[in-house]
This record gives sequence, C-alpha cells and structure tokens, in this order.
Amino acid sequence: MPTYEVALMLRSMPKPELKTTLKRISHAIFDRGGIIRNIENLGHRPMPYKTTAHGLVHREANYFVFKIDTATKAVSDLKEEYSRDVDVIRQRVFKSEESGSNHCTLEEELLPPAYRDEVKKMIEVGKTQVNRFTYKFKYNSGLDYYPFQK
Amino acid sequence: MSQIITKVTVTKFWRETARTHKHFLFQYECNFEKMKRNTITISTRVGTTVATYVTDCGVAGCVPNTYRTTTRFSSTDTKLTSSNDEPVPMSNPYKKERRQCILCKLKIKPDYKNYRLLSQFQSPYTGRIYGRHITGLCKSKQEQVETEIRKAQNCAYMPYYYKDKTFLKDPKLFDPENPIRSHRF
Repeated sequence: MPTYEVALMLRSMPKPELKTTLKRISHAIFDRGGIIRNIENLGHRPMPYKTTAHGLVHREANYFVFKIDTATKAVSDLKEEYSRDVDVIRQRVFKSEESGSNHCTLEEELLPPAYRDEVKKMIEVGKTQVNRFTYKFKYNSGLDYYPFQK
Repeated sequence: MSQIITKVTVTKFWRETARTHKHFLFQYECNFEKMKRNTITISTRVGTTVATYVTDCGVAGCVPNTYRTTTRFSSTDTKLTSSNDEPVPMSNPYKKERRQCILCKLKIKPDYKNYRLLSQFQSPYTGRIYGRHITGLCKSKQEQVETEIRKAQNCAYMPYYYKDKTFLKDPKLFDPENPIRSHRF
C-alpha cells in the first residue's frame, strides 16, 4: 500500500464537533482497509482566498494533513466520500514522496553555454539535421540553366 | 652574465624583501600571517622560470625563510639540490570551491506544508514564482519548489496573487533586481 498525504480543510466549528468530524474521516479510511500513519494539525487560520463549499462561503478553515497508507483504488472512493461531507471544505490527495538524490548541479549550470552538456548535445543533434530553410538548386533537375535570378 | 636572478616573483600574498648574493642565497622576510600559498617561483631577467619552491607544509610557522638556489651557468654544472626545497606534487591551490544552491547547501527539501519557506520564492507584488535566473537554485530544486508552491496554493495554504502579508518582512534569499541572466521585465 502506498503512502498518501490527504490535505483537508475543515470548516470552522467548535471542538467537540471537530472531533466527531475527524473521527468520521478516519473511520472512512479504516473502513477501506487503510491505516493512518500520522495526523498533522496545521491550525485554524484564515484562508488566503474565500472558498465556497456546500452552498456556504468559507473564509477560515481548520487545516489537517492525514498521512495514510491505503490501497490505490480506495483513494478515489475516499475522495468521493469526503466530497459529500459538508464539513470538508476542500481536500487534496498527494503521494508522499521520499527525498531523492541530493546532488547539486548548479556548478555545471553556471558554466558558459559552450561547456554545458545539454548545449553540446543540442549542437550535436543540430549537426545531424538538414537545414530546411535553405533550398539548394539541383542542377540535374532537367533544366540546363538556373531559372531564377541569381 | 645573463642568468643573474634579479626578480623573485612570489605569489601576491607574500611580502618579500629579497637580496641577491653571489651564491644566490635569498633571504626572505615574509609576513607569515599573510601567506596563503606555499609556492615561490624564481625567474630570471629573461623571464624564464628557474625553479619553483614549495615549502614542505602549508603551515606558516614551519616555513624556512632561507632558500639556497643554483643558477644555470651552463648545462654541465652540477645542480645543488636540497631535499627540503624540492618541488612536491600538490593539487591546484587555486581551485575554487564547488558552488551549491542554497537549498542543496542547507539540505532542505521543499514541502508544500512549509509554505513560509515557499513564500520566499514568490513575488510580493504579483504572487508569481521567481525563475531560476533570479532564485539561483539548481534545476532540480527549482522544479521541486515550483511544484510544491503549486500544491500549497491549491491546498489554500498560500495565496495565488499576492504574498502573505505576515511573511513580507522575511529575510531575502536573493535579489530580484540582480538576476544571473537578464530578463525582459
């Protein structure tokens, strides 16, 4: 099961209600055989832009991030369920990424163009291409003279 | 005598007062604190290099301040060689350090939840993401920053068209007025 991050924005509501909402959200994950690794509360704060959800305009939201392990096929199902939940203003699911190689290529990128590998490659490719923008008259085309002004 | 050693070129960190003797004994009074490179090059009047001297270690304290050299009066002359002063193989002391972008240097992985960091790569006037020529990031990090900013904006952590006013006084990581490459704005 891959790890996903579910970023949820819940409408502003009193704490007990928030608790039941979070429970409902987690049970939806458990019902589909998923597990929760971590729940992050990013706090209750004004949204950078107002959002309309379920016929109401929201300017503030409770931000939560659930880190869950669930089957890939269950994700769309979960999203569908949360979209029907009136307490969820907005939800996004991202695949949680592990850090890859940490090799900085800035030094190579700051080289003058002629020394950069990608430019060298482009020049090599350019050499193999035919220049389509210049036409050279073929003298064996049947005419024994060049028909245009030289 | 064309081979008289008249000039002692020392790397610019050395303050030299050289005296030429009959036996080409050089006396240096160097400012040891200022020595960074441990090479001395001695050239003749004609401009050719006679010898390069490398002190045995880079520490200023252990550098001897007397050097005995020979001149090339003729090719048959026996050369005086002292074991201490012989040139030693060394890596290029002038080689510059490898430059790294700020996120690689500090080993930071941009994350959409860390919107305060991401907002530093956003224009305070238009909310647009600054390009690589302004931010000075390497290609992979710039790409990561851009995707994470998009994610954060989509999750309503970050505004699209302006920068969060609480982050306006954050320290500047780069100067948008001085891009690496010129741009048309």
